[in-house]
Amino acid sequence: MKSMNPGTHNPARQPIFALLRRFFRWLTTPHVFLAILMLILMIYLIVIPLGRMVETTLTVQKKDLITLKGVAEGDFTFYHWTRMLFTKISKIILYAPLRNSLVVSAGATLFAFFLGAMMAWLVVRTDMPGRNIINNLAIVPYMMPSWTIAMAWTVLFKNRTMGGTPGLLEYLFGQGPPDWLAYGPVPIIISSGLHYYTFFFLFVSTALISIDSNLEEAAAMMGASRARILRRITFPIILPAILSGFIMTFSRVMGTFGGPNVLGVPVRYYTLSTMIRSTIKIGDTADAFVLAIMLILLAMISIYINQRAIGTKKSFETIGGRGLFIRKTNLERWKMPITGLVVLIQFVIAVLPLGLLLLNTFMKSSGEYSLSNLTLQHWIGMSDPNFNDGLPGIFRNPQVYKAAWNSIRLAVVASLLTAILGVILGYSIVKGKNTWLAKVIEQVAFIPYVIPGIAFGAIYISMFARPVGPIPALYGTFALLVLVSVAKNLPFSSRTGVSSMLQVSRELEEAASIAGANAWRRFYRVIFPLTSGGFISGFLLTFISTMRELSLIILLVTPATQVLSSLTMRYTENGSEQQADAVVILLIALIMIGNLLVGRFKKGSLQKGLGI
Amino acid sequence: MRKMHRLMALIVVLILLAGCAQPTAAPAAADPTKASVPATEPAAPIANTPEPVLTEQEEWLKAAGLGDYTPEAQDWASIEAAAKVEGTLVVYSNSSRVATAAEAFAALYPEIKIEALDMGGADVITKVREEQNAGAFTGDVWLSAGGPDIVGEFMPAKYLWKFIPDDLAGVIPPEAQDPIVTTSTEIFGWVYNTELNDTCPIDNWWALTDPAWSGKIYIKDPMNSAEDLGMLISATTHADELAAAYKDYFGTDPVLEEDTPDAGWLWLKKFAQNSPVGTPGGDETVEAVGSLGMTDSYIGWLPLSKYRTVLKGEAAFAPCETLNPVVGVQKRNYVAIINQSPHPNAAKLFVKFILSAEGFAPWNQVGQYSSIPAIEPIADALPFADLKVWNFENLFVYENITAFRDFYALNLLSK
Repeated sequence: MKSMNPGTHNPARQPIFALLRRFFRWLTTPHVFLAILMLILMIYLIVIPLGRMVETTLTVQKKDLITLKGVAEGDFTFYHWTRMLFTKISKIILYAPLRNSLVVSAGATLFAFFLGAMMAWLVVRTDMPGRNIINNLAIVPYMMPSWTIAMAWTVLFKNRTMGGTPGLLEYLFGQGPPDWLAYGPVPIIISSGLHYYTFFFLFVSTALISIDSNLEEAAAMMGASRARILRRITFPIILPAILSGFIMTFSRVMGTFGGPNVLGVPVRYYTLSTMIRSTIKIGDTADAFVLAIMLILLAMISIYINQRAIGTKKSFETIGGRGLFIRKTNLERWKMPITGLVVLIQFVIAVLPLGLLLLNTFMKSSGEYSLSNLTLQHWIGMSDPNFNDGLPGIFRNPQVYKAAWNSIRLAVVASLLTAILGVILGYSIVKGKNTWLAKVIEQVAFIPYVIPGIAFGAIYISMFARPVGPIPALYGTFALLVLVSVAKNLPFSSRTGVSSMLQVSRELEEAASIAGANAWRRFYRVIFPLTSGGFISGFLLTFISTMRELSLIILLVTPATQVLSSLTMRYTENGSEQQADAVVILLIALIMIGNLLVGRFKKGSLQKGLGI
Repeated sequence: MRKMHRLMALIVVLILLAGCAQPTAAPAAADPTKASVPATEPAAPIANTPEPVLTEQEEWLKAAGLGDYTPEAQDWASIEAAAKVEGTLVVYSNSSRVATAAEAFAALYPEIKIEALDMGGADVITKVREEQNAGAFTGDVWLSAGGPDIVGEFMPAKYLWKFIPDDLAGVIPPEAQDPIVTTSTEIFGWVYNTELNDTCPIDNWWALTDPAWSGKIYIKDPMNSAEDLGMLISATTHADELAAAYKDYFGTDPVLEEDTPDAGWLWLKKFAQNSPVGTPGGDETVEAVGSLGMTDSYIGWLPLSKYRTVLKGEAAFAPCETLNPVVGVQKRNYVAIINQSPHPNAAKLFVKFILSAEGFAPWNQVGQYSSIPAIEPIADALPFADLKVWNFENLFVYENITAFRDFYALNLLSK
């Protein structure tokens, strides 16, 4: 843009004025202006907290005074970095776990890709029956607590290493499965892949919807084979979505704790996320932040690679001015086998765990499968000292209603804000492609994803405990929960924003421009409506993860802002396992209702959007 | 359409405003980071050298009648009246049972709105530390464990203040008043499966280092649980007793190694090398060791409060009562008033309540014992009340947990 009128200014006569004018013109370019706004916002919400983390790793902490002599608290030191990176414990605390994390993340991402992309293609582009149901079930695994699939795995594959009674396989065949199948990388990869394939599913299906089948038909008419069309047309178009899915899944698995804790720890297979948690728990925050920063660096590297990949490969704008035509592939004789396979997969990862969870809530005591053991006590029972320490059923408990309302409020407000920011971020990143500004905001927007939630929460307490400038003291208010949830979830919405924005053709904006629409009008009348798919994906991902989030907000909640996820923790600790399961079911039900409402609100565009 | 236009304009303006606000805000926001570090420091010297002008903290102490300003006698009528004026109370706890206690408290004092927040013990520590550092004085009562941090950091930094209702000062044993009041002790110990064994299959802590039990010992992963690691560390401080047990078990004096200065370290090293299996939590340990209908015998480390699953008939395990030198370790839960609490009188009322039989009721269960002798344990808890246990060594754990975690990790993970 700034090179558009090179001849109009005369550097010799009015250099400063011209420079200013050029600068002003650059600044008022919509994507630049928005990018700068986003940058300022993110500096406050993300960069400063990150800076605090770095600062912590470089200063002497109170606890270090026990080992370090001749220094004072707050002094500058490289102690934590050298300790984590170059001592005899580095291999055990950092390098081996890092290697394990990489193996697990890469494996799970690959697995999730095949599963997610296949499901997305089947739902959007084929005539497979029951696509509506599949579409709805596809996000179920992501809604469940991350340890559910890992737990289900141990029920099936448990062997003598974990003591207790035999797992199902050993019970059936008299021989326990080997350790490599029961614990360690293989089951962590599979369970994490199953849990997080939702990212690939959402991103790839959103991208597939926007492909005009005319492109593929044109190729087919020119004699290209199906494989060739897939390789040369479909795949390149959805590549940005795949790469987004790759980054999200990869970093998510890197940071995940539930699966490795259940499946890795028994065989002493530790990952970086386990080690970060372990180090935070013993109170060595600075050491833990060093590990966390290593995790953040890894994520930044993977985004950099992603930027390079998209930068060198041209991205394709598929939403053009012509009508969109999606042709469904007829699966013909493969219809039944493929449907059967998909049904089986979904049964195992969505229906079964959910069903077991639900069944558990109807049992008086867990694990006893007799009819007389069935009860509605955990749902609608009156307070009874023999059950759940006298807690009434969840539908009779006013605390549950209050927490549910808080969860919904938080999730809706936070996801709405996040989704709006996501579209703006996507716009500024895509339109400013290859400028330093776009690259910086893309990187920065991703950082919160890999900052451990508990660290985020702790830093936000100190940042918002007192009024700063125009911002009042937010600690203890609902607004702070919203703020931290928005910051933490920006990565989701910026990814979905970028991948949907990448497909909007420049010609549409140009057409609007010719018709006399100014930049803002173009943005909200043309760009915004066309990227509503990305908006909705961003909204949904934030909605789901905010509903489930615990570690991020645990330090920031007050009793008045108690949410459902903290209730599940309370009940689990109490030994009221079924009560906790009932709350998890309630949570999932609320998320599903939210999902349906979003579809209804946008006049069914989510359903239509996903090709159904 | 126009509506849409306005809405978008509004959003943009709002973001703009936020954007304009931040450049000025950002540097200011960085200040508390620097400010927060010294903020904790002046507190100590000022408190030591009294000056005519009272600090904020001293003002608060004076008003609340705590610390150096503790009055001769407590006037409970005026405390109660002041508490009702305060009208609110915020309790931070590591136990979900606090909700039940809060309900009972609310029934007694309907004028006081009690907000009891149940978090993990580690989160209570972080929350209070951050609030104190930032000067966001929000919580009133600490009802949680965290002994090492209380002794090593929170008491020296004056984040917590001891408060004992005067009628209890002579009742609570001295060791349960230092540095703040213990509400209850909880026993953790080694357990065995009672369906497969009549008595505990091991009789000595050194049997846990025996290759025969390699991979058959279950414990909530000490790498992930500061509390369980802290108990093992506390055990190592009893080097003499462990050395004597060594002699009982092996018949010789312990052979110390380069990195094991005493029998305590030696035990922990050999224990870690014997591949103990880490579990995600106590429930999984119960499942591994005490499930009904098992065929193999294992050993587990559990809080005896888990014995309630046995009482319900859902599991079968018991503590190794005759284990040499002891069965396990007991940890303490504490109650104190948080520094510069906004509702100190309501906090005092709650401390008094939680130290009464009624207030303790939610915690009066198997494996957990009130520090007040007059509060009888429940009948099921009586058999374990006299088990021989070691104490959780707060200060030692605080000062050595990093060294021990490194040591444990090295021996557990390098083969």
